[in-house]
Amino acid sequence: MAEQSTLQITGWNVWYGGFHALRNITASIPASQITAIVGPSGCGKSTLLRSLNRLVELEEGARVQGEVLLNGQNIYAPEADVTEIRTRIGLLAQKPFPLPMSIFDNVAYGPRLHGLHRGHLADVVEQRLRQVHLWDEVKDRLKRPAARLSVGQQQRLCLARALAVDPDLLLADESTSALDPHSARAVEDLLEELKNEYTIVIVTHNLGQAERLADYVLFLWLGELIEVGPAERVFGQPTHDLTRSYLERRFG
Amino acid sequence: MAIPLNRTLVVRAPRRNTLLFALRRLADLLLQNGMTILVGLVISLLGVMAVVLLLRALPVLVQQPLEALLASSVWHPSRGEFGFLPFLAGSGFVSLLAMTLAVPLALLSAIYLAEYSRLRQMIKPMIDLFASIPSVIYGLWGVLFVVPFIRDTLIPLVDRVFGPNAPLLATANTTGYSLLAGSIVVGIMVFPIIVSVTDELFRSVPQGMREAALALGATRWEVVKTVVLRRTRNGIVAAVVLGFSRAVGETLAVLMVVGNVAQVPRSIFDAAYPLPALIANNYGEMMSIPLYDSALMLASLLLLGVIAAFNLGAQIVLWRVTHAEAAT
Repeated sequence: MAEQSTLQITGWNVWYGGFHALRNITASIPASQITAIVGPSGCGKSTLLRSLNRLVELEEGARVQGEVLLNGQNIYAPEADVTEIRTRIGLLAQKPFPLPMSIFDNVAYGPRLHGLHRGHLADVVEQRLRQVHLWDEVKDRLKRPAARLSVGQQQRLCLARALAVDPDLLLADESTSALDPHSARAVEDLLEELKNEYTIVIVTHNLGQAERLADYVLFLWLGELIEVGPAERVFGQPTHDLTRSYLERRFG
Repeated sequence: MAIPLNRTLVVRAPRRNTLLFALRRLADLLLQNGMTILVGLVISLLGVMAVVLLLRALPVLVQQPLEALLASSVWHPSRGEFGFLPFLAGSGFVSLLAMTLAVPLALLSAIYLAEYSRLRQMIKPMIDLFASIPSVIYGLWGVLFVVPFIRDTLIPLVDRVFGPNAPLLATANTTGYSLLAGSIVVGIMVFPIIVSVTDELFRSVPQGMREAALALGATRWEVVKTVVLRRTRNGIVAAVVLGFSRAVGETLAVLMVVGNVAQVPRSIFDAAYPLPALIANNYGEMMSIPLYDSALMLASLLLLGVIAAFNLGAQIVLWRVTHAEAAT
């Protein structure tokens, strides 16, 4: 399993064309904890998350500056292999996107790409589906298209698929917002279970969820990092006025 | 800021003008039904065309059964012999060879456009422009460039390399007006259609699905192969069928370069004679020959049937692929 993975963001800027989406972000993400990026819509939460596995550079007109160090290695270094980097970072998107293939092939997708021996595939698939508590629900229909599963099941399948490449870091971009409350809770519980083995970063609009899950919080406002710290401290005694008013609006 | 309502200024809309209501309802009803009927008429035009063609084709069908007409390769109208095989073979071979040339290039171009190119917005309209160039221009280009190229370069080259008896290549026809010339011209004509349709297909694959595969460590080509092509494979088949039906129906550009000899071609350099060329070249001439007119009507009916079936099937599949969110 993953060793203690560290993530350090230094002087991080992102532009979309002329729009300066993230301004000089510097933060370090603690290992084996859940870090929540919170803030109002359009403040750059998703951009920051997508910076961590280099998906941000797929946007048209996107430009980046700064460093993101994963276990001490700058993932934006010119010699860095983007495919290899993404393999070390799992992504759970806002909506589940099952690949157009069977349930089995979805989980086996990453291991197959990376040359896992055919004989081990079934074991990996079963192990990962058990890890997300999906095995008992799908074990009789592994060859059926993944798109036939319910949305909640699909999201757990996507988590199993991400875990199957054995990443160091797990990113979740509002991963429960498209789910019914029951499925959302199931995914939350899974993230909670997984945080001992993985460093997890989530983006969420749901402050209740952030409070339930997060050990560490980054509060963003209009592309700037306003406040950073352990969750109890940021939620309990925010030092910055913007953080306080953002948190209070929820209660009042 | 709320403006206090001044009772004296309020003009209330009339509520119970029943006559006006009735008139409005009538207008709505008439328009709605009228438009439905008009659309129905346009669609039923296809059926009317088929019925008229069938009626006019009956005389030749009464004289000889359809199977015999389709299987015979003797086309001798003045002797009352109407064998359609050369034309069916001509249409089939020209279209198949055209697709063989066009499909791989078109698919790769569409993949490039949809998945790699940053200039898609500039290139796509140009490709669509190619689809709207009148076919006579493609035909002229074929006569001016393709035919001489085949005659002066390709045939001598093939003759030197493969010898005078190579199957599918050897020919007595040295004019350059040939099956291959027709296929190249038609291939170039269907290329933009296939690119355009498959590019739309590829764009209909959700970006999140690509990102999911990328996040698992797939390369861009692996994303294309395992996600984009896989999800759209039915649609790709449909796009190819759509292109094929265009190729089968293309008339003018083909008849300008294909040689128009009523024979079953044995070589890609032989002259061929596709169905649409037969109809366009002969209808209205030599109509004194009995049953000639009827035979051409049968040719038209065959063409209409094949193209309508292919087109409709392809459109249905395409619609399903681009609209089914849960399609796998």
